[in-house]
Amino acid sequence: MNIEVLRDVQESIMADANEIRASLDQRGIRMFNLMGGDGCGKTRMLERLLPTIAERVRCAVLEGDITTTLDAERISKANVPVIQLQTDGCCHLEPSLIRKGLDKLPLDELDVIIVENVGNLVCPAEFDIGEHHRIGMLSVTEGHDKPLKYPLLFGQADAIVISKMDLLEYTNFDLDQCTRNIRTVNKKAPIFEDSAEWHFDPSFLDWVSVKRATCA
Amino acid sequence: MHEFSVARSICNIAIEEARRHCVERVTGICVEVGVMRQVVPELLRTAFDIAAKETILQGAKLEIHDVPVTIKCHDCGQFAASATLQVQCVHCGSTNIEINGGNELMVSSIRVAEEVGHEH
Repeated sequence: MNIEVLRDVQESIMADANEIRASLDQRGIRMFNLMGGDGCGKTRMLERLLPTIAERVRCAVLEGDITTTLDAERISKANVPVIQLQTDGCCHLEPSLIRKGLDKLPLDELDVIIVENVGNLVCPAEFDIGEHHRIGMLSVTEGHDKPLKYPLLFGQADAIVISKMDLLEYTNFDLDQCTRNIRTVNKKAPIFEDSAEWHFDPSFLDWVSVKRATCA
Repeated sequence: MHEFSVARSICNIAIEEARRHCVERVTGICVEVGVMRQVVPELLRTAFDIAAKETILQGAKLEIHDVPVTIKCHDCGQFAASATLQVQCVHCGSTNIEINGGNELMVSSIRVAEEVGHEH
């Protein structure tokens, strides 16, 4: 015989994520979940973003990787608190690991936390980690088809960054097609263009600041 | 390979429900999986078999039901349900479409061999 259940598979993860969000809300902290493929330039963007954003808000970073502390070492040079989260082989971050990272941060002295998820376009998008906003990232060297091939990540993003724009002329990346592909899965998210060789796009900084202000 | 995390959560829910109904062996679990969830059925079954070992779920059959997405075309105005993720309108070929639904990931029921006892 059958017993009706009708329970969401991720209910316990969502409960943990909601608890994290509520505790951050109480402290007036906004958390951003930065997701993108391995090598798309997430850490490089943070290295450039952090010194500038630190002039506007008090910021910290949780660095998610399967192993090593290499990314945390890079980020620490920006003089913001950073905690390396090692998943020991797991392909994504979950709320339980985020909580361990948050326990090590000076939460009373923070306005914004940026979580750099494990480099992967599939699994991280499946898990709510207690963030307030999701940022999806893809680079021109990965191809303009990525939003269609990974619709969950790009469909749920609150902002999308296209990186390595300085390499555009060396690839067959079609920026207009990429924008159309993004709009097929995501009608609303603002799209920001970036390059490690450029000055940081102030409109992206404004977006982060406005999102931060919505909880202040 | 997030299928292992998904399988672990499915097992936790199924075991909880079985205990709540005083059931000692589960023979099947039905899950609804939306097209957008990027869950690979074969991997989920393998992960489930591993997670279910030495529990009351061992040997249970995992039945995976796909939940389609709904596609609305902004050019011709027609709707279509699709069991795979489409990037074009199936009626007019336009890419000016809106994809809705397909985010389900739910344990819908468990199947048990015996009569259900009293709930705790």
